[in-house]
Amino acid sequence: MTLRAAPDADHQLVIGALRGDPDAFAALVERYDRAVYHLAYRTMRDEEEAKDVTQEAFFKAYRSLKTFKPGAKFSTWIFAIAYHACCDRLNRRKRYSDEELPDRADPARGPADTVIASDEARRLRQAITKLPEKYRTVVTLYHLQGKQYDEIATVLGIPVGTVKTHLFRAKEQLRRMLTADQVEK
Amino acid sequence: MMNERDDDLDRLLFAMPLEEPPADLRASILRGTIYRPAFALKLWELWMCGTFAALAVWLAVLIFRGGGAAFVRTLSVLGATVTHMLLVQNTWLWLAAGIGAAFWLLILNPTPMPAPFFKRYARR
Repeated sequence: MTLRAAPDADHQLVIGALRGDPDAFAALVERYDRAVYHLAYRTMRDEEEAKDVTQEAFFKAYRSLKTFKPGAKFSTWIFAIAYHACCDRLNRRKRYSDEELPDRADPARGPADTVIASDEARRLRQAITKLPEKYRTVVTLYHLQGKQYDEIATVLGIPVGTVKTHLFRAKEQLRRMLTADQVEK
Repeated sequence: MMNERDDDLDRLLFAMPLEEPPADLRASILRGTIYRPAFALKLWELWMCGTFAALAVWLAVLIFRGGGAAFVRTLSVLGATVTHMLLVQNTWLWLAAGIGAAFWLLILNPTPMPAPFFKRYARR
């Protein structure tokens, strides 16, 4: 499910959008809305908030398309915008809630339920949901962008080494959870 | 052994389908971006409207507070000041000098205008 969209095609679409071609921006939305929603949903663990974050990210991207650097990748840029929007909301959540937030993700009731193809995928989703926020986001971006650690680091604003460490620990935890799940069964 | 386990997990991760977004998500994004009706007024027009509105409020306050007399007095003071300014020869000299300088600066300015982002980009 890694995004393998050609960056050149994205650049052409950005240029088109800057020239005022509405179809070009629509194509960018079509290409990335699902991935951005996925990242937002995995980070926020709430459908409504994920939807709001996705909208917010694209609105922001549309408004500040002129600031998009020619050498950058659109996917990295839009993920970074979405991730920052998530962080803002999570901070607000923490500020207004003293008690630990309930784990609102319930894969049995979430939007994923309709598309889960296998038991393995369902268990993996559940395990990812249980990861701490920083690991969850790294794993989600790894899932979306593949082994492009520098891109993940750019989105999260952390060093590549930290990305690798987080990913390693996240995978360890995932493996442990999946094994424990299998033993229970 | 470790690599194998890593590969298995990677395979699982990359095979995992993305979350299904709400059906109206894309439409709502497009409604808020490319299909959003353009704002009818330009920035300078907004400034003009704001200035006129402020002037209107100021005039209304003057009229209601002073029963009209203060308003008339202010207008006459303003009128007298402007008339006096226009009758002084120096005012016209400075105006002419300013307009002339602006005109020549506009013509002789050698600084090229910055190209828009997409033109710079398209050259690559």
